[in-house]
Amino acid sequence: MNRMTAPVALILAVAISGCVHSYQYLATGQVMTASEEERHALLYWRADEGRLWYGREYAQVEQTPVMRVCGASVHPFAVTDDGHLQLDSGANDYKVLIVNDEGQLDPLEEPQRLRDGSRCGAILLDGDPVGTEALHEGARPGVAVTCENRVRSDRHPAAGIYRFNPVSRERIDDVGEAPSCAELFD
Amino acid sequence: MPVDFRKPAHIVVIHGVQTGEDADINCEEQVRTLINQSLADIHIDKEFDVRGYHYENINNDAQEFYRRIARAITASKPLAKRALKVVIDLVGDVVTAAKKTSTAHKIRKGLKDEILKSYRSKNQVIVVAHSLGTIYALDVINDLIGNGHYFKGDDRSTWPVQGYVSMGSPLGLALNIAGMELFRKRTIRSIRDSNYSLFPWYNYYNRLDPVVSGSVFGKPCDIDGVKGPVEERYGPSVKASNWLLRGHPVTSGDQWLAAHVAYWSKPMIGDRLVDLLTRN
Repeated sequence: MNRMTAPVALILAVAISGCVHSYQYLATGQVMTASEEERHALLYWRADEGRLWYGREYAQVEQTPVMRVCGASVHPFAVTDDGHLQLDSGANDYKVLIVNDEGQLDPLEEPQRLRDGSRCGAILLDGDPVGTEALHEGARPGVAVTCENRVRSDRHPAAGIYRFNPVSRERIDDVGEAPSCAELFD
Repeated sequence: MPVDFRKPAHIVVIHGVQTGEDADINCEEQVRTLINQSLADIHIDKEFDVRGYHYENINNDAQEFYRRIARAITASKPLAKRALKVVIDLVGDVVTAAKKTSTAHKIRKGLKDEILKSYRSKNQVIVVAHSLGTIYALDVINDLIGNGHYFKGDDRSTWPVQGYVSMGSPLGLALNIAGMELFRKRTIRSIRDSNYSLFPWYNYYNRLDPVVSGSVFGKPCDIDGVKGPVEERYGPSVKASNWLLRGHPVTSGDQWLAAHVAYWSKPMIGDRLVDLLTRN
């Protein structure tokens, strides 16, 4: 590498990344594990906002938040065809609850084995399933878990609805670091 | 040779277009760091092993003839020599993957052998691929599904690959250059006799990544919700073949080629891998 390579690379890096900034959305809460232990949990996702190198305005929100349950599990959300966020079902998942019209959970008479990618949970706002666009700063999301796993009981939190604290938003410089359990709760 | 889900999972990582040699590639280290960071953040312990599949030396061997010509042409021009070497290296990798060459066949066979080595030792395998590597990975997974010995319906212990994570993939591009289709649409093989199980494919992409958008100047690609170019192109066929394709548009504060390499340090992808590691 010659003497000019590093400065040129630095200028190029600033030129192509300096105008778009990253923001992080975060909501914290508590959930119950299947073994009935209460755990801290967090939902996070990010967005880019700013101008592209040629001046055009740009904004993109990551539409699939992740729920981290401290000391237990991690749950990336998916987006359904209707734009709502859902926890995908996997092997040996059974639906045991359904979300009724009032946003409350009703038990199913007979647990129903699910095909992969079916709804095992959702993010709710005022009782309704929503997509990320509804989760603006200050919104209070709920996470509904509607499945149990017959082989790995620790696969999902215990079925139920968990209320999270209001969503916060902050600009971040280090995109390689996600909110950790130690940083938020210890 | 069924998978024993109590054994540590093997994550097989496939790199994309590269310059240099196999020894210069550290994609497996980047993925290991990503997973360890995610596990530490969430306070979870999980055993796993990460194995890189490198194919740059195979490509280099195949390009040696063209390199010699380039060296002869640019003998007295060191800058031109260096530039041409990089161009041959990068373009050669793409052309090799696009055409039905013996080199591409050798690369796919090597990857398949690597996956089956883990399967024979009863370790579950998760495949992670970046850029051009996503094409080789998809071809090999497809090939394994098409082979009658594996992927027997809902019995996941017969699946040599349990999940596929692609990052910055050009698979959504229908590019035709000089009559050559660079990333032809693959026929997705179907998992037979599966009532409940779908093969999971998680595709992470940045709209500003030129390898995803196909825009040399970094114009963002249009997306519909979470459906980017790969989901638009492969969505219907994977659904009909018992695959589950999930698109994940991501951000990193980067543009252009910086966006193309930022996946390797994306915590959300580390979280996905931990999810896959702790699933069975």
